Amino acid sequence: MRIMHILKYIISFLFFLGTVSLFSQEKEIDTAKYKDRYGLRVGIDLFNPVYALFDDNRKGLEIVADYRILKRFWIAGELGYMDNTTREDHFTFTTNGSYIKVGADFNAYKNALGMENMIVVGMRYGVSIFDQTVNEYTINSDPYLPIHTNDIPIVYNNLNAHWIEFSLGLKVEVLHNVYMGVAFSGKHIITTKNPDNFKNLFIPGFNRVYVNDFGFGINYTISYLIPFYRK
Amino acid sequence: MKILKIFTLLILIIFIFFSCEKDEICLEENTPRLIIRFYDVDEPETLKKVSQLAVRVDGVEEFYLEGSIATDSIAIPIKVDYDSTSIELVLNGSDLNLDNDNSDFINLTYIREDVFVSRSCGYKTFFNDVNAIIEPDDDNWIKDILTIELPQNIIDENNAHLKIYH
Repeated sequence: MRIMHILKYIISFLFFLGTVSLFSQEKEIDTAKYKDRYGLRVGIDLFNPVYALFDDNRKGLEIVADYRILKRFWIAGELGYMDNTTREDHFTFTTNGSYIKVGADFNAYKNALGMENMIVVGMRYGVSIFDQTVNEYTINSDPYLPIHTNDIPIVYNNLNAHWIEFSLGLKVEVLHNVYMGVAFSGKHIITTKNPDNFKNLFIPGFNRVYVNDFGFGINYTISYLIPFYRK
Repeated sequence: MKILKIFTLLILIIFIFFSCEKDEICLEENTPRLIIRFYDVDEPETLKKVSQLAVRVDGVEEFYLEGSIATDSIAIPIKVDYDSTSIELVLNGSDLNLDNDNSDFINLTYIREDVFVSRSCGYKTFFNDVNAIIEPDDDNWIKDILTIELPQNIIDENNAHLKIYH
Protein backbone atom coordinates (compact mmCIF):
# COMPACT_ATOMS: atom_id res chain seq x y z
CA MET A 1 0.00 0.00 0.00
CA ARG A 2 2.89 2.32 0.85
CA ILE A 3 4.34 1.92 -2.64
CA MET A 4 0.96 2.86 -4.06
CA HIS A 5 1.05 6.12 -2.20
CA ILE A 6 4.53 6.90 -3.42
CA LEU A 7 3.43 6.06 -6.95
CA LYS A 8 0.48 8.40 -6.71
CA TYR A 9 2.80 11.22 -5.69
CA ILE A 10 5.21 10.51 -8.51
CA ILE A 11 2.51 10.36 -11.18
CA SER A 12 0.88 13.52 -9.94
CA PHE A 13 4.21 15.28 -9.79
CA LEU A 14 5.05 14.27 -13.36
CA PHE A 15 1.74 15.65 -14.52
CA PHE A 16 2.44 18.80 -12.62
CA LEU A 17 5.83 19.16 -14.32
CA GLY A 18 4.16 18.46 -17.63
CA THR A 19 1.78 21.35 -17.24
CA VAL A 20 4.49 23.72 -16.06
CA SER A 21 6.64 23.03 -19.11
CA LEU A 22 3.56 23.39 -21.28
CA PHE A 23 2.87 26.90 -20.25
CA SER A 24 6.46 27.92 -20.78
CA GLN A 25 6.22 27.11 -24.46
CA GLU A 26 3.07 28.95 -25.41
CA LYS A 27 3.05 29.50 -29.10
CA GLU A 28 1.85 32.81 -30.41
CA ILE A 29 -0.57 32.69 -33.24
CA ASP A 30 -0.67 35.78 -35.39
CA THR A 31 -3.93 35.26 -37.15
CA ALA A 32 -6.61 37.22 -35.40
CA LYS A 33 -9.20 34.77 -36.64
CA TYR A 34 -8.13 31.52 -35.06
CA LYS A 35 -10.68 28.80 -35.51
CA ASP A 36 -11.21 26.08 -32.89
CA ARG A 37 -10.91 22.46 -33.86
CA TYR A 38 -14.02 20.32 -33.64
CA GLY A 39 -13.80 16.55 -33.68
CA LEU A 40 -13.75 13.27 -31.87
CA ARG A 41 -11.24 12.79 -29.08
CA VAL A 42 -10.54 9.20 -27.99
CA GLY A 43 -8.18 7.93 -25.36
CA ILE A 44 -7.54 5.61 -22.47
CA ASP A 45 -7.37 5.95 -18.74
CA LEU A 46 -3.85 5.41 -17.36
CA PHE A 47 -4.71 5.25 -13.67
CA ASN A 48 -5.95 1.66 -13.49
CA PRO A 49 -3.32 0.03 -15.75
CA VAL A 50 -0.54 1.71 -13.74
CA TYR A 51 -2.29 0.87 -10.45
CA ALA A 52 -2.46 -2.79 -11.58
CA LEU A 53 1.33 -2.94 -11.99
CA PHE A 54 1.75 -2.47 -8.26
CA ASP A 55 -1.41 -4.06 -6.94
CA ASP A 56 -2.54 -7.54 -8.03
CA ASN A 57 -5.98 -6.90 -6.61
CA ARG A 58 -7.09 -4.62 -9.39
CA LYS A 59 -7.29 -5.00 -13.15
CA GLY A 60 -9.09 -2.48 -15.26
CA LEU A 61 -9.27 -0.77 -18.60
CA GLU A 62 -11.22 2.30 -19.61
CA ILE A 63 -11.71 3.94 -22.98
CA VAL A 64 -12.65 7.62 -22.94
CA ALA A 65 -14.15 9.69 -25.70
CA ASP A 66 -15.67 13.12 -26.22
CA TYR A 67 -17.17 14.98 -29.13
CA ARG A 68 -17.36 18.74 -29.33
CA ILE A 69 -20.80 20.11 -30.08
CA LEU A 70 -20.52 23.76 -29.02
CA LYS A 71 -17.65 26.13 -28.33
CA ARG A 72 -17.71 25.20 -24.65
CA PHE A 73 -19.62 21.91 -24.64
CA TRP A 74 -18.61 18.35 -25.34
CA ILE A 75 -20.64 15.15 -25.26
CA ALA A 76 -18.46 12.78 -23.30
CA GLY A 77 -18.40 9.18 -22.19
CA GLU A 78 -16.35 6.34 -20.79
CA LEU A 79 -16.50 2.60 -21.39
CA GLY A 80 -14.63 0.29 -19.10
CA TYR A 81 -14.06 -3.06 -17.46
CA MET A 82 -12.84 -3.75 -13.94
CA ASP A 83 -11.87 -6.73 -11.82
CA ASN A 84 -11.17 -5.74 -8.24
CA THR A 85 -10.58 -7.64 -5.00
CA THR A 86 -11.29 -5.84 -1.75
CA ARG A 87 -9.93 -7.08 1.58
CA GLU A 88 -11.86 -6.08 4.65
CA ASP A 89 -11.22 -7.01 8.28
CA HIS A 90 -13.67 -9.91 8.28
CA PHE A 91 -14.07 -10.86 4.62
CA THR A 92 -12.68 -10.51 1.10
CA PHE A 93 -14.67 -10.15 -2.10
CA THR A 94 -14.06 -9.78 -5.81
CA THR A 95 -16.09 -7.54 -8.08
CA ASN A 96 -15.92 -7.84 -11.84
CA GLY A 97 -17.95 -6.27 -14.57
CA SER A 98 -18.21 -3.52 -17.12
CA TYR A 99 -19.61 -0.03 -17.12
CA ILE A 100 -20.54 2.87 -19.32
CA LYS A 101 -20.81 6.56 -18.45
CA VAL A 102 -22.45 9.15 -20.66
CA GLY A 103 -22.72 12.87 -20.12
CA ALA A 104 -21.32 16.25 -20.97
CA ASP A 105 -18.19 18.29 -20.33
CA PHE A 106 -18.08 22.06 -20.00
CA ASN A 107 -14.88 24.01 -20.51
CA ALA A 108 -14.62 26.64 -17.80
CA TYR A 109 -11.28 27.96 -19.03
CA LYS A 110 -10.96 30.93 -21.36
CA ASN A 111 -8.04 30.02 -23.60
CA ALA A 112 -5.50 32.40 -25.00
CA LEU A 113 -5.82 32.57 -28.74
CA GLY A 114 -4.75 29.38 -30.45
CA MET A 115 -4.84 27.20 -27.36
CA GLU A 116 -7.38 24.57 -26.58
CA ASN A 117 -6.78 23.58 -22.98
CA MET A 118 -9.64 22.83 -20.68
CA ILE A 119 -10.77 23.14 -17.12
CA VAL A 120 -13.32 20.42 -17.34
CA VAL A 121 -16.53 20.52 -15.37
CA GLY A 122 -18.36 17.34 -16.20
CA MET A 123 -21.48 15.41 -15.43
CA ARG A 124 -22.11 11.73 -16.13
CA TYR A 125 -24.78 9.11 -15.78
CA GLY A 126 -23.14 5.77 -15.09
CA VAL A 127 -24.42 2.22 -15.41
CA SER A 128 -22.58 -0.95 -14.47
CA ILE A 129 -23.42 -4.63 -14.77
CA PHE A 130 -21.27 -6.86 -12.61
CA ASP A 131 -20.81 -9.96 -10.41
CA GLN A 132 -19.71 -10.10 -6.79
CA THR A 133 -17.88 -13.07 -5.28
CA VAL A 134 -17.40 -13.34 -1.55
CA ASN A 135 -14.17 -15.32 -1.43
CA GLU A 136 -14.12 -15.95 2.31
CA TYR A 137 -15.50 -14.58 5.52
CA THR A 138 -14.97 -14.87 9.23
CA ILE A 139 -17.95 -14.79 11.56
CA ASN A 140 -17.80 -11.79 13.86
CA SER A 141 -18.45 -13.45 17.21
CA ASP A 142 -17.30 -13.47 20.81
CA PRO A 143 -13.53 -14.13 21.00
CA TYR A 144 -14.17 -16.78 23.68
CA LEU A 145 -14.84 -19.38 20.96
CA PRO A 146 -12.41 -20.28 18.14
CA ILE A 147 -12.62 -18.16 14.99
CA HIS A 148 -14.73 -19.69 12.25
CA THR A 149 -13.85 -18.95 8.61
CA ASN A 150 -15.99 -19.94 5.67
CA ASP A 151 -13.79 -20.18 2.57
CA ILE A 152 -16.31 -21.57 0.09
CA PRO A 153 -16.81 -18.72 -2.42
CA ILE A 154 -20.32 -17.35 -2.80
CA VAL A 155 -21.07 -15.89 -6.25
CA TYR A 156 -23.74 -13.30 -6.95
CA ASN A 157 -24.41 -12.74 -10.65
CA ASN A 158 -26.22 -10.10 -12.70
CA LEU A 159 -26.05 -7.19 -10.30
CA ASN A 160 -26.28 -3.62 -11.46
CA ALA A 161 -25.94 -0.04 -10.36
CA HIS A 162 -26.90 3.38 -11.66
CA TRP A 163 -25.22 6.51 -10.48
CA ILE A 164 -24.64 10.17 -11.14
CA GLU A 165 -21.17 11.66 -11.24
CA PHE A 166 -19.71 15.16 -11.17
CA SER A 167 -16.12 15.77 -12.15
CA LEU A 168 -13.57 18.53 -12.11
CA GLY A 169 -10.40 18.22 -14.09
CA LEU A 170 -7.85 19.53 -16.52
CA LYS A 171 -7.13 18.63 -20.08
CA VAL A 172 -4.04 20.04 -21.76
CA GLU A 173 -2.64 19.61 -25.25
CA VAL A 174 0.85 18.21 -24.72
CA LEU A 175 1.60 17.50 -28.37
CA HIS A 176 -0.28 18.45 -31.50
CA ASN A 177 -3.73 16.76 -31.12
CA VAL A 178 -2.54 14.79 -28.06
CA TYR A 179 -4.15 15.63 -24.74
CA MET A 180 -3.41 14.60 -21.21
CA GLY A 181 -6.04 14.90 -18.58
CA VAL A 182 -6.50 14.54 -14.89
CA ALA A 183 -9.89 14.58 -13.23
CA PHE A 184 -11.36 14.05 -9.81
CA SER A 185 -14.94 12.91 -9.53
CA GLY A 186 -17.59 12.63 -6.85
CA LYS A 187 -20.36 10.11 -7.33
CA HIS A 188 -23.66 9.13 -5.82
CA ILE A 189 -25.67 5.96 -6.39
CA ILE A 190 -29.23 6.41 -7.65
CA THR A 191 -30.25 2.78 -7.56
CA THR A 192 -28.48 -0.55 -7.22
CA LYS A 193 -29.47 -4.20 -7.21
CA ASN A 194 -27.86 -5.67 -4.13
CA PRO A 195 -27.38 -9.42 -3.56
CA ASP A 196 -29.66 -11.12 -1.01
CA ASN A 197 -27.16 -11.56 1.78
CA PHE A 198 -24.44 -9.09 0.78
CA LYS A 199 -24.05 -5.49 -0.28
CA ASN A 200 -22.44 -3.86 -3.32
CA LEU A 201 -19.44 -2.37 -1.53
CA PHE A 202 -17.49 -1.93 -4.73
CA ILE A 203 -18.91 -1.20 -8.19
CA PRO A 204 -16.90 -1.15 -11.46
CA GLY A 205 -16.62 2.44 -12.64
CA PHE A 206 -17.90 3.72 -9.32
CA ASN A 207 -15.14 2.26 -7.13
CA ARG A 208 -15.54 1.85 -3.38
CA VAL A 209 -19.03 2.60 -2.13
CA TYR A 210 -18.77 4.79 0.94
CA VAL A 211 -21.46 5.28 3.58
CA ASN A 212 -24.59 6.97 2.23
CA ASP A 213 -23.81 5.63 -1.28
CA PHE A 214 -21.07 8.16 -2.07
CA GLY A 215 -17.98 7.45 -4.13
CA PHE A 216 -14.86 9.09 -5.54
CA GLY A 217 -12.68 8.57 -8.54
CA ILE A 218 -9.49 9.72 -10.20
CA ASN A 219 -8.67 9.56 -13.88
CA TYR A 220 -5.44 10.19 -15.72
CA THR A 221 -6.14 10.09 -19.41
CA ILE A 222 -4.18 10.35 -22.60
CA SER A 223 -6.25 11.00 -25.68
CA TYR A 224 -5.95 11.89 -29.34
CA LEU A 225 -8.11 14.41 -31.18
CA ILE A 226 -9.33 13.50 -34.63
CA PRO A 227 -10.28 16.93 -36.00
CA PHE A 228 -13.33 16.95 -38.26
CA TYR A 229 -13.64 20.67 -39.02
CA ARG A 230 -12.76 24.13 -37.72
CA LYS A 231 -15.17 26.76 -36.58
CA MET B 1 -1.92 31.11 -14.07
CA LYS B 2 -5.46 30.20 -13.15
CA ILE B 3 -5.13 26.76 -14.73
CA LEU B 4 -2.13 25.97 -12.55
CA LYS B 5 -3.91 26.98 -9.38
CA ILE B 6 -6.78 24.67 -10.18
CA PHE B 7 -4.39 21.88 -11.01
CA THR B 8 -2.65 22.23 -7.67
CA LEU B 9 -6.01 22.28 -5.92
CA LEU B 10 -7.02 19.09 -7.69
CA ILE B 11 -3.86 17.29 -6.66
CA LEU B 12 -4.47 18.44 -3.12
CA ILE B 13 -8.02 17.07 -3.10
CA ILE B 14 -6.72 13.74 -4.38
CA PHE B 15 -4.16 13.51 -1.57
CA ILE B 16 -6.70 14.39 1.07
CA PHE B 17 -8.98 11.70 -0.31
CA PHE B 18 -6.28 9.03 -0.20
CA SER B 19 -4.99 9.92 3.22
CA CYS B 20 -8.23 8.96 4.96
CA GLU B 21 -9.02 5.39 4.12
CA LYS B 22 -10.50 3.62 7.15
CA ASP B 23 -13.71 5.50 7.59
CA GLU B 24 -16.02 2.92 9.05
CA ILE B 25 -15.93 1.20 12.42
CA CYS B 26 -18.16 -1.64 13.54
CA LEU B 27 -20.95 -0.35 15.75
CA GLU B 28 -23.66 -2.85 14.92
CA GLU B 29 -24.38 -5.92 17.01
CA ASN B 30 -22.41 -9.01 16.02
CA THR B 31 -23.27 -12.69 16.61
CA PRO B 32 -25.82 -12.85 19.45
CA ARG B 33 -25.06 -14.85 22.57
CA LEU B 34 -27.45 -17.25 24.26
CA ILE B 35 -29.28 -15.61 27.14
CA ILE B 36 -30.50 -17.83 29.95
CA ARG B 37 -32.67 -16.78 32.87
CA PHE B 38 -32.93 -18.86 36.01
CA TYR B 39 -36.31 -19.53 37.66
CA ASP B 40 -37.42 -21.27 40.82
CA VAL B 41 -38.69 -24.79 40.08
CA ASP B 42 -41.25 -24.50 42.92
CA GLU B 43 -42.49 -21.07 41.86
CA PRO B 44 -42.10 -21.06 38.06
CA GLU B 45 -42.82 -17.34 37.73
CA THR B 46 -40.10 -16.23 40.12
CA LEU B 47 -36.50 -15.62 39.17
CA LYS B 48 -34.04 -17.50 41.36
CA LYS B 49 -30.37 -16.76 41.59
CA VAL B 50 -27.76 -19.47 41.16
CA SER B 51 -25.03 -19.33 43.73
CA GLN B 52 -21.42 -19.18 42.58
CA LEU B 53 -22.22 -20.16 39.00
CA ALA B 54 -19.43 -20.93 36.57
CA VAL B 55 -20.16 -21.46 32.88
CA ARG B 56 -18.14 -22.74 29.99
CA VAL B 57 -18.66 -24.18 26.52
CA ASP B 58 -17.67 -27.83 26.26
CA GLY B 59 -14.38 -28.07 24.39
CA VAL B 60 -13.01 -24.77 25.68
CA GLU B 61 -10.57 -24.89 28.60
CA GLU B 62 -11.44 -21.63 30.38
CA PHE B 63 -14.73 -20.66 31.93
CA TYR B 64 -16.62 -17.91 30.18
CA LEU B 65 -18.30 -16.69 33.33
CA GLU B 66 -16.80 -17.15 36.72
CA GLY B 67 -16.71 -15.38 40.01
CA SER B 68 -20.11 -13.75 39.92
CA ILE B 69 -21.51 -14.13 43.42
CA ALA B 70 -25.06 -14.91 42.40
CA THR B 71 -26.94 -14.32 39.22
CA ASP B 72 -30.36 -14.96 37.72
CA SER B 73 -29.37 -14.44 34.09
CA ILE B 74 -26.33 -15.11 31.93
CA ALA B 75 -25.20 -14.61 28.34
CA ILE B 76 -22.84 -17.07 26.69
CA PRO B 77 -21.51 -17.42 23.13
CA ILE B 78 -22.41 -20.61 21.29
CA LYS B 79 -20.54 -22.34 18.48
CA VAL B 80 -20.75 -20.76 15.04
CA ASP B 81 -18.99 -23.67 13.33
CA TYR B 82 -21.21 -26.55 14.56
CA ASP B 83 -24.93 -27.16 14.69
CA SER B 84 -24.74 -27.97 18.38
CA THR B 85 -23.12 -26.65 21.53
CA SER B 86 -22.78 -28.33 24.89
CA ILE B 87 -22.68 -25.92 27.81
CA GLU B 88 -21.43 -26.81 31.25
CA LEU B 89 -23.07 -24.95 34.13
CA VAL B 90 -21.35 -25.52 37.45
CA LEU B 91 -23.30 -24.77 40.61
CA ASN B 92 -20.93 -23.40 43.26
CA GLY B 93 -18.18 -23.60 40.65
CA SER B 94 -16.80 -20.16 41.36
CA ASP B 95 -15.90 -20.66 45.03
CA LEU B 96 -12.76 -22.29 46.34
CA ASN B 97 -14.53 -25.33 47.72
CA LEU B 98 -14.38 -28.09 45.09
CA ASP B 99 -16.53 -30.54 47.08
CA ASN B 100 -19.77 -28.63 46.61
CA ASP B 101 -19.41 -28.25 42.83
CA ASN B 102 -22.23 -29.68 40.77
CA SER B 103 -21.76 -29.81 37.01
CA ASP B 104 -24.74 -30.04 34.69
CA PHE B 105 -24.56 -30.06 30.92
CA ILE B 106 -27.16 -28.68 28.61
CA ASN B 107 -27.06 -29.57 24.96
CA LEU B 108 -28.21 -27.10 22.33
CA THR B 109 -29.02 -27.93 18.74
CA TYR B 110 -29.85 -25.34 16.10
CA ILE B 111 -29.70 -24.39 12.44
CA ARG B 112 -27.08 -21.76 11.63
CA GLU B 113 -27.64 -18.86 9.28
CA ASP B 114 -24.77 -16.51 8.36
CA VAL B 115 -26.02 -12.99 7.86
CA PHE B 116 -24.11 -10.12 6.25
CA VAL B 117 -24.08 -7.01 8.43
CA SER B 118 -21.80 -4.35 6.98
CA ARG B 119 -18.34 -3.61 5.61
CA SER B 120 -16.81 -3.04 9.02
CA CYS B 121 -18.69 -5.75 10.95
CA GLY B 122 -18.68 -8.49 8.32
CA TYR B 123 -20.93 -11.45 9.02
CA LYS B 124 -22.80 -12.65 12.09
CA THR B 125 -24.59 -15.93 12.75
CA PHE B 126 -28.25 -16.41 13.62
CA PHE B 127 -29.28 -19.62 15.38
CA ASN B 128 -32.67 -20.87 14.28
CA ASP B 129 -34.97 -23.59 15.70
CA VAL B 130 -33.02 -23.89 18.91
CA ASN B 131 -33.64 -26.98 21.01
CA ALA B 132 -32.23 -27.48 24.48
CA ILE B 133 -32.02 -30.62 26.59
CA ILE B 134 -30.46 -31.43 29.96
CA GLU B 135 -27.95 -34.26 29.92
CA PRO B 136 -29.13 -36.49 32.77
CA ASP B 137 -26.69 -37.39 35.52
CA ASP B 138 -26.93 -38.72 39.11
CA ASP B 139 -27.55 -35.34 40.65
CA ASN B 140 -29.02 -32.73 38.30
CA TRP B 141 -29.41 -29.32 39.93
CA ILE B 142 -31.16 -28.14 36.75
CA LYS B 143 -34.66 -29.55 36.96
CA ASP B 144 -36.16 -28.31 33.74
CA ILE B 145 -35.26 -26.26 30.66
CA LEU B 146 -37.56 -24.42 28.28
CA THR B 147 -37.12 -22.23 25.25
CA ILE B 148 -39.11 -19.03 25.62
CA GLU B 149 -40.62 -19.10 22.15
CA LEU B 150 -41.53 -21.91 19.80
CA PRO B 151 -39.67 -22.08 17.53
CA GLN B 152 -36.88 -20.29 19.35
CA ASN B 153 -34.48 -18.26 17.19
CA ILE B 154 -31.46 -16.45 18.55
CA ILE B 155 -31.12 -13.32 16.47
CA ASP B 156 -30.36 -10.69 19.10
CA GLU B 157 -29.57 -10.21 22.77
CA ASN B 158 -32.59 -8.08 23.61
CA ASN B 159 -34.58 -10.87 25.22
CA ALA B 160 -33.85 -14.12 27.02
CA HIS B 161 -33.91 -17.31 24.94
CA LEU B 162 -33.92 -20.04 27.58
CA LYS B 163 -35.48 -20.59 30.99
CA ILE B 164 -33.77 -22.86 33.45
CA TYR B 165 -35.70 -24.11 36.47
CA HIS B 166 -33.74 -25.15 39.51
